[in-house]
Amino acid sequence: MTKYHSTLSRREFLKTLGLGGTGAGLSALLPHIGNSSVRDLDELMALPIASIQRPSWVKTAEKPTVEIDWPQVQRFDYHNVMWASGLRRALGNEQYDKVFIDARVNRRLWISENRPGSRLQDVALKEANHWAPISFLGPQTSPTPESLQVPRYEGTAEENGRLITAFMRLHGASHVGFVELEAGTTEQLIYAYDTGIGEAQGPRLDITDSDFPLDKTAEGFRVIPRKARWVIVYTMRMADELMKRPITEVGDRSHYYMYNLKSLLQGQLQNFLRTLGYMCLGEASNFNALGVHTGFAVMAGIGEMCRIGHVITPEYGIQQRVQMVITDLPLPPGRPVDFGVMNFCRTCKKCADYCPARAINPATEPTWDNGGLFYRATGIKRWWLNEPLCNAYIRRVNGCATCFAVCPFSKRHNMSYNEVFRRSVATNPVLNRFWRRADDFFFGDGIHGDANKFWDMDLPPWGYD
Amino acid sequence: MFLAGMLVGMAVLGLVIYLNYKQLDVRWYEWLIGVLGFGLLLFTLQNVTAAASEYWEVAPLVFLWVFGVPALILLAVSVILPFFRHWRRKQASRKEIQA
Repeated sequence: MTKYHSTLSRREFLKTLGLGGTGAGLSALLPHIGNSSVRDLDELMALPIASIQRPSWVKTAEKPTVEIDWPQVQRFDYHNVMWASGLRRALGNEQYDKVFIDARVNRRLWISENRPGSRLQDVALKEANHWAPISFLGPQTSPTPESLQVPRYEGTAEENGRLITAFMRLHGASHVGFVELEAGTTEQLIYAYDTGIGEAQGPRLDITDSDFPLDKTAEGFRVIPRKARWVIVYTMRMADELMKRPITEVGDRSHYYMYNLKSLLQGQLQNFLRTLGYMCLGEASNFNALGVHTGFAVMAGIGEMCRIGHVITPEYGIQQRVQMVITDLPLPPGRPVDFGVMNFCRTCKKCADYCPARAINPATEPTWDNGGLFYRATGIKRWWLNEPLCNAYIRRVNGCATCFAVCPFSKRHNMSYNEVFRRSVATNPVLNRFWRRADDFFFGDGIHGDANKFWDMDLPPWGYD
Repeated sequence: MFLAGMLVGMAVLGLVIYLNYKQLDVRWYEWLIGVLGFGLLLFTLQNVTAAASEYWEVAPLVFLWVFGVPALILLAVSVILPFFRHWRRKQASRKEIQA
């Protein structure tokens, strides 16, 4: 029988798994990869989906464009963020409860008024959530090499990187990047306390020399073995046409359906790595857990941090959710990228101008001073949001993200104008002020008017092409 | 893109054949103006159609005015100049014959 490349062990591994027909099945599932049939993991890794080609104007950098003072970075307690108990603690019980009363009143009022994008069918769209079970250790339902009585998969870091990228993109990820955890730097981006249920304090995340991960939530801790050194960071693109309709239930769906997908994708990745013979520690929350996603995405070179503290990527701007897992499969660490976002944010300020809550800092220069507030990270020079104001507004109106909609990077690549704009921002910051004005001139506030029109659009699957 | 390239190629070929047939003398700067105008026209058409496909309501019209009008002006200038010169030359030779 023909042997492909020099991967006898992997071939045997796959044969043992009974995946001999995987290639034909995979090529049938993937019309966009052409007529090539995938016969083994090496051929899967050689496919275009196994690597992400960046535009020529995206430069790699030694340091991220956002300044980080690593000795000052403390591992963050997720309990402090607005989505956990942060908002209640920042506002006080009375104000906090009022926010939720306002949200209920607004929703009922807007349904009865048939407010565009907030009618009953729009509420139904937003609330159509369905989650796959999600956990730190994963579903653990796939066979392990031990159960198959074969050695575990072995590959170089680069091969592993392509393998994971191909797998992730096949299952819906847009970008995939890798970060190596190093004591004193990237390890500080792992939360000190993981996400809890609702407002409850989550379990402590201990990084120890243990051989196996442990989830002892009932006892208040989880263990990340020190040998699990690699973080897989991935993004899931959100639908432009939903995002362009902020402060509506329709607009808010753009976040939720990607979180729905994440709950499925993470379990699939955990099972995939389990069968290869490696651990995969996931986020035990449908939304955000384990570590600072933006920080990892920046360190992996997926994108740059912007004024509102999210990640902007060269391909999709701000329109994606970022997620992560930790594994002991060796992976090639990425390098931060620079395509001019930090500089552009200095002059643009469009998100701050249009923020309905006035929660975005309009200062030209970012600052190290976090105001000593418990819900803010330390050791990072950024534009600090007024988080309680932002979060309370989002909850009151049942979803905002106006900043996502108005950002000049929130455009698709169909228009050659956008290619010129992005290339210019990356290579010629002198023109940044001109580009902000041009964005106002051509696209106004960047928001698409009638939210009800969404239902009459002939959109591609997932709402993006 | 392939089809657009073919159409552009055929149009340029047709133009050169026409110019030779009419014995029109086209200066280098007229070619330059024409190429600029044509490029701007392509840029306009691409952005107008792409903006419309992205459901922008006003942006296609803005692109049309901001880039489309200068594109047409440039193209018109590049076409009119050789014909105008050709016409003046004809007038001059006619006057010479009459004189």
